[in-house]
Amino acid sequence: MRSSPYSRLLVLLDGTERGERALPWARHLARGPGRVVHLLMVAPAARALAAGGRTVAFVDQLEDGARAAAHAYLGPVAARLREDGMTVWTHVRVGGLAQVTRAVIEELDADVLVLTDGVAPLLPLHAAPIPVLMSGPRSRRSA
Amino acid sequence: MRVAERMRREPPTVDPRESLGRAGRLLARHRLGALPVVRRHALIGLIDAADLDRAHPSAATTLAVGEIADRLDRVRVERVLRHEPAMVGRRTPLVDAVRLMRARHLTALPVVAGERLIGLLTEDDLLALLAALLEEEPPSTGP
Amino acid sequence: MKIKTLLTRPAITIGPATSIRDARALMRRRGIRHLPVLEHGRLVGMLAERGIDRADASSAPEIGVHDWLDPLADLVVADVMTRGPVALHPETSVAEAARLACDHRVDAFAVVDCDEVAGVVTRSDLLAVLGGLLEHRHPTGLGHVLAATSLRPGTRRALGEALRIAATAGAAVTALHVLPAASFVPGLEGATAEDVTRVERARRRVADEATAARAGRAQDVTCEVAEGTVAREIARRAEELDSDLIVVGAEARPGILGAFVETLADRLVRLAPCPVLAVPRSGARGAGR
Repeated sequence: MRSSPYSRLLVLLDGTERGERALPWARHLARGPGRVVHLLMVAPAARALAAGGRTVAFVDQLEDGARAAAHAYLGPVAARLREDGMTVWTHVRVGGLAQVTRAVIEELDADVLVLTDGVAPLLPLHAAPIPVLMSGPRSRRSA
Repeated sequence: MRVAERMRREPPTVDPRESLGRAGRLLARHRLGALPVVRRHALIGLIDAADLDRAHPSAATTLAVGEIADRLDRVRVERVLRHEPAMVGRRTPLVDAVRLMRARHLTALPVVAGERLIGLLTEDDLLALLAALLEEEPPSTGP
Repeated sequence: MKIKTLLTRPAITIGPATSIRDARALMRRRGIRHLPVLEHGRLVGMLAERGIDRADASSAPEIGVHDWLDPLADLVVADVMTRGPVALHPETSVAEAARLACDHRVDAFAVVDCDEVAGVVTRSDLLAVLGGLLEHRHPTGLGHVLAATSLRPGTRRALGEALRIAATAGAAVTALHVLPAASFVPGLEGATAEDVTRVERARRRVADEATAARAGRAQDVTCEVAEGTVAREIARRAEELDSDLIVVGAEARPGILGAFVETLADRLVRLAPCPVLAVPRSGARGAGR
C-alpha cells in the first residue's frame, strides 16, 4: 500500500469525545513510514480572577492549571495511537485558537489539519493555508 | 472488514416507554448485553445489563422481593437509558468500531443509517470473530 | 497466541473480608473492573464492578428511595463476589479464551498457574487483540473518494489530492461537477438536446481535469455531472456512492468587513454522510509538494 500524501498531520482536539471523532481520519491519512501526527489542544488565555477587589488567582496559575488538564487529556489519547504504531507528538498552547493554530501550522510545517466540526467554530478555515479535513455531525463512518 | 459484515441485522429493540423489567427479560431471552432503544424507527439510546444492574435495588432495600419485580415493571426505560449513545455506520471499519467499544466500555454498538437503526454490533460476535481469525492462522511462529 | 501474553502487569487481588467501599476505591484508582479474590493465597471468587453496582442503591429514584442511605456501608467483598470464577491456565490460547467468553458469557477470567493467580484477562483485553489483528491483517482503507470540482481555475490541486489519497488507500474515485439546475419550463418534459450537450460538455471537461490531475498515474476515475444545488447534490451522491471522503476546493471568500461567510465546505460538512477535505487553491502554500 502506498504512503499517504501527507507527512505531518495536525489534529486539533478540544478535550471532548466528539473532538476525537477526527482521530480515525488521522490514522487513515497517516499511513506510511515517517508520517507524524501532532495533537494540539489550545486553552484560552486566562484573565486574572478577582473577587472583592483582590486578585484570587493569577493568570499564570490559571493557565498552568489549564495546561496541566490539557496534557492529562492528550496523554492517553496519544498513547492509544502509539499502541497502533503511529508516531505522535502532543502540544498544548494557550491563546486565541485561530492565532495559535496558524502559528503551530507554520512551526510544525504541517501539511494537513484534521478536526471535528464544532471544535473550532468561527475559525476561518477557508483561509487556512493547508488542506483541512473536517468530520461533520453525520460522519458516522468514523468511530 | 467493515461493521456491516459482522453486525446483527434486525436486533431486538425496546421502546423508551417500556419497563425495565421487560428490558431485562428481553436481554435474557436474546442473550444480549444491550438493547437499542428505538422510537418510531429512530434510535434514541441504548440500555445495557450494567444500566439494569445500577437500577436494581440494593440488598438492603426495604422492598419485598415481589415488590422489586413490580417496581422494575413500572419504571420506564427512558428513565435509565443512556442518551446520545455511540453509533456507527455500516461502512465504518470494524477496527474503528472495536476501538470505540473498548474506549467507552460498550458491550454493543448500534449501527445506523441516518437516524434509523439498521443493526447491532455485539461484543459476543466480535469475540467469536477473534477466535475464528486466530484459528485460521497457520500454527507457526508467534507467542 | 497464549493468554499469558496479555498479562501486562502483576496481578492485583483482594481478600474476601475487605470492605466493598475499599474494593471499589481500589478498582477506581487502578482503572480495573474485575478483581480476583484470594483467601490464604487461593482463588475463591471474582469481584466485578457490576456486582457492586447491583448491590448499590438503585439509580432510579422511585426504587432507590427504598434503599438504605448507604447500602454498601456494611458489605464486604465476600458478600458481593461471584464464587467459583472461571480460571484459565496461562498457556490457554487466546482463541479458546475468546470462545469461552462468548459461549459462556464470561466477562473476565482469572489466570492461574499452579494455584498462583497471575492476573486477569478481560473481554476488553481480548478485543484489544482483535483490534490489532484487524489493523494488521485486515486493514480497512477508504473505499470511495468523491472529488467535487467546480472546474474553476485553481481547483486542480483539490482534484489532484483527492486522486492521490484514493491511490494511497486503493479507493475508487469519482470526480463530480454540479451544474446549476437547468431552468425549468413547465410543460416541457424530458431533457432537451441542449441540456444533453451541456451535460456532455461538462463531463468532458471533468474528464480532462481528471486526466491532468492524475499526472500520468494509471488510475480509474469515474467522471460525472449532476444538476442542482451544489452542496445538496454532492452530499446526495456521496450517500448513494457510500463515499468515505469528499474533497472540494476551499473557496477563499472573505466576507464584507471580514464577516464569516459560509463556504461550500461548511455547508457540505453539515449535510455530508462523511468527512470533507477542503483543499486551498493551487498556488497557496504547500501546493505541489
